[in-house]
Amino acid sequence: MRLHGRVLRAGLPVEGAYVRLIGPSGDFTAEVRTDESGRFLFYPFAGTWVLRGVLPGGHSLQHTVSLTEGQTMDIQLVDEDVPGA
Amino acid sequence: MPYARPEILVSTDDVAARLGDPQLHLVEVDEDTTAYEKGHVPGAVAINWRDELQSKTSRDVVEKAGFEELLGSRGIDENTEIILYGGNNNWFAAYAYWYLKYYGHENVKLMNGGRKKWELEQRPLTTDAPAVTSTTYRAKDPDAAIRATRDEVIAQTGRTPMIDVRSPEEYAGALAAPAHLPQEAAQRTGHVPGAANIPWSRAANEDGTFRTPEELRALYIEQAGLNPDGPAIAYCRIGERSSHTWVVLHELLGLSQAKNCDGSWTEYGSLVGVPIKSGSER
Repeated sequence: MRLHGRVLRAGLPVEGAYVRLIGPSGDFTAEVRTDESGRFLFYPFAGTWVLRGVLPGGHSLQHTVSLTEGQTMDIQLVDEDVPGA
Repeated sequence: MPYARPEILVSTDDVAARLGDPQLHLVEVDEDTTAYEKGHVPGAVAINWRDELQSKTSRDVVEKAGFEELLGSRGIDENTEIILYGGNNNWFAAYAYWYLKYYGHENVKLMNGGRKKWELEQRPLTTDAPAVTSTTYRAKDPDAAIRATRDEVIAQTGRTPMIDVRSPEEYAGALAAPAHLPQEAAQRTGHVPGAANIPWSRAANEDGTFRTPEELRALYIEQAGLNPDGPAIAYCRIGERSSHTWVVLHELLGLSQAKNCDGSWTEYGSLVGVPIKSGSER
């Protein structure tokens, strides 16, 4: 199973955001740094997971996803709070 | 209440203030061994955990002579103050810290928060590698007192407190590895019978820094019931996250008998005939 997606700000990918995956237990299971396309990728199992991203500068985003067996999900974490906008 | 050894933690502010100091010896150690080339803290050298900290002829740490050659090639001698940092909330930097202690290096520290905190604070990174003059490094003999072997884990099951520092999902056997990795690992999933599950992440803040001495004491001593004067063995999947917890126990809380089991679950979970427990119960 795969849970992947991108972190976006003002429609543009954010490189260097840190996205962590909180498991059904409520504890941290993994964390990755987004690449130049703002992408992240995890290999979870069926259940409810929380994606939590921290962007350069410290702004954070959170999104809850429920995965069913065998599902691949594509998530966009969008930062609406654009600095200077 | 202070940390047992507060001097081993260096803040990102303090590292930033010392950039350019010829006595600043920063060493980056990452799970992603390409991270350094893409940008690192100015002046830092890299150590590749996969190619340079693992023996090529057996599954083990490199032998003493190889370790001496490695450190010498980075311009480090046995008196150098080394400040380690890396990605993954300093997992691999903590592994290098434990490794340096295994070979008796006295003056080693961690940049608290690691690469993540440095990056999120939008501090400078460079792709320039520093000029390094090779030197001679003389290691001490390995300190077996901080390393738990497979045989010790088996012999001490039910006797010495063991801490499985992986996520509850890995402890229970639902995941075989951290969720950012493809799920190949040991032959079986689960945990050592009797081991308590205290994920490493409970010892860290979201920015990657260590929690306060009071919080760490509450977690490991008051809640988990570890004896500050007694033994403890930390393990994870491949020995890096358990190094993070070993730093907490041995260096920050002062449990002088704490050991890191670097073989961890990929070794134990592939052994024939050892007891394994699945699910959330100890």
